[in-house]
Amino acid sequence: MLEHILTLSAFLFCIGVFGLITSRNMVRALMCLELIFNAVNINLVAFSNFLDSSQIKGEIFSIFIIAIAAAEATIGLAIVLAIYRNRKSTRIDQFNLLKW
Amino acid sequence: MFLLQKYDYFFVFLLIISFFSILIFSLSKWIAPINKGPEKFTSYESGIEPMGEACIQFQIRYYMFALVFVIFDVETVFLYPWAMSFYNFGISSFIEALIFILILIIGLVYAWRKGALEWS
Amino acid sequence: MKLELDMFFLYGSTILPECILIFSLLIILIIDLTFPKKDTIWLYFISLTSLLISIIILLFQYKTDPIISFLGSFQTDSFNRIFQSFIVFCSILCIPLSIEYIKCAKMAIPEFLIFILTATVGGMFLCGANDLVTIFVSLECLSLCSYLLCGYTKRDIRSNEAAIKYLLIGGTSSSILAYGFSWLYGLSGGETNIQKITNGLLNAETYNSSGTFIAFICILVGLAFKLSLVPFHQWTPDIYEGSPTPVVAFLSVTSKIAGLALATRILNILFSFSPNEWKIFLEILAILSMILGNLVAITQTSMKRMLAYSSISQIGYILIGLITGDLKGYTSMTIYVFFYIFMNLGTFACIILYSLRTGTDNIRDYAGLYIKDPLLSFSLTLCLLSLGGLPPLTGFFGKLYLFWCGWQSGFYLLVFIALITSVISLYYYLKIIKLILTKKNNEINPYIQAYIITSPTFFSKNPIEFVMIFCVLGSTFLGIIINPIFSFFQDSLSLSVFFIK
Repeated sequence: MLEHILTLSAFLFCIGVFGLITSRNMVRALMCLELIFNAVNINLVAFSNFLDSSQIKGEIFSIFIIAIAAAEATIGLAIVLAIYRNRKSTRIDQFNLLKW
Repeated sequence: MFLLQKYDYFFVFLLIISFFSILIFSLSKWIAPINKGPEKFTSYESGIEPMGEACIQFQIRYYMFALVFVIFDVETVFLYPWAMSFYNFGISSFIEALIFILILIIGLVYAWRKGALEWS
Repeated sequence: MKLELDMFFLYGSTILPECILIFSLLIILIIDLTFPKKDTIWLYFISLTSLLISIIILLFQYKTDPIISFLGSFQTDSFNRIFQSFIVFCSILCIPLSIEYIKCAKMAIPEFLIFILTATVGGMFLCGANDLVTIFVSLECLSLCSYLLCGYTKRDIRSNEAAIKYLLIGGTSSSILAYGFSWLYGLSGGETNIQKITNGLLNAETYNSSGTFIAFICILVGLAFKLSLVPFHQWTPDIYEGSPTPVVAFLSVTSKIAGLALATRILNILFSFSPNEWKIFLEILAILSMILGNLVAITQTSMKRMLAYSSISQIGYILIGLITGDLKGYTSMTIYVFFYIFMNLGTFACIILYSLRTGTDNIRDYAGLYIKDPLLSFSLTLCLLSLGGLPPLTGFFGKLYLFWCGWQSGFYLLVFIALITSVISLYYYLKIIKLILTKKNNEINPYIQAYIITSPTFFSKNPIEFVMIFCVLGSTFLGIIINPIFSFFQDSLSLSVFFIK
């Protein structure tokens, strides 16, 4: 049973990384970031259910990860808002000011 | 299917449900009369005349409220474990939770004073 | 399990410096909210005072035996104390650097100070974190503040772009790190304390499994992103170029120091069962970053980008001490970090001063600066030469100790490449210095012409110049007294948790 959950979280992780690499829109990239964090959460909750059911440290850890992911998403969206105000677009591939 | 013995019922239900949904949709397609007209293509807004386009831009205000909401919504999650084990910890944890809420309140006051909660 | 939540009164002294900073940032926030009239001198005063108090407390307590507090989630020893005081020291130097820049860019001051203080607190907690949860939370506390600081000039598109790039890449790296943490949590049988994880891995005999290897790779990738080692360095030049310059000065030292402390703790305590494995990986990363950082830095045209690549190569040198792994190696690493603060902040102080007066960062616009401002060009020259490691200056002695320790421990290839690349680095530093000092007749570029000459009196100098002169003095003369410094750091590091077994 544990293997299935771990496989699920590994798939979610891979989808998240793939999406981060390929997505053109910034909001979509932020969503992929959330996917990776959710993969971590699934892993932690599964492990804490199977191995550590008395102290449930993993679930506490996942609460912290949820809170921090929310803060990160909020900061990301705020920066997206600032970018949108300045250049009326949120596409990643149009960010080419900083290059060598 | 051999690995997940507990899920046999689930798969039976899944089969039945998918069978029923296909059956019902094909029945309605077979029975219902087919009309074509301009009314068919308008969006459905609870029976009222639709106003404007389906893809409208939301006010940017909603966005600001959503940003503030997300932060405070998630921070309250930390209070649930504390509340569940309140009787085990005694008065000191109560004071610590008060400090935590106080910091959140300072954040809320900050958002308020900086005008993130103003609509106009 | 009975929880002792009033342990704060027992262990309060272990996090007292951090508590002072948190308290002062709350005070700054409340002052900003209650008084609409902006009296900014007070805000600077409060932040600098709290930083000073906390560094004094840290210096008084620097020789402590390892104490584990807060249910095993925080550990205090002399190694952490030294790195924490480095971080506070950087913040003390960086706040005067940013005063005039903020005034010119018309940014809000209280938020800037709050972000700087929060990042400092996050870095300080990161140095002593002993628990996976604490490591993750304090790491994010540091990096979330850094994203906000990068995008602090909201109207500037380049700053926005740097912020979003930093956010995406930093978020990716910390999520990969968290994925590695989740595997460690599972493989050790449900432990989050890093000493208990090692015991759990040894007891469950999973320390050689492929799962541990995946966790190790994930954690190493996350750390390498934070330290900007070479295959994971792509974000550094972009962020250095786009962000406001005082913020870059702050990030280039603080996040490096905190990341280095974290890497040392994780690799030494968590992966203490396979030291040869991580040393090989780190060696490859260090060699790559020394070679690529120095080679790419030659071709740069922007000063900030050049410094970004040079910082990538510097972190490669610093890693030699970590790879060496004995007391002398750690001591020389700590000393080099200490010198690096002076050299790097001194260089950045010069750049901030120049860009405030002319508004450009290009290297070629520095041509002929010597005619207009000898003080600035002299200090820039000294800092750059010290970064390159020319003999009588501080950077030379730091590098000498690092390379000598590496050579004695038998890392010949590493030290050999480090020697060659530091010669290459001298080339591009000298190129800039030649540009500054040589005078092309009748062809002064417009930026230099627009340069405002400062008043020669001593008291009318601005805070940036004070910091600049202080750092230049440090990066010139500290090398002479390296022997007492070395024995001082060696004494205190020998009390740290890595050497008390």
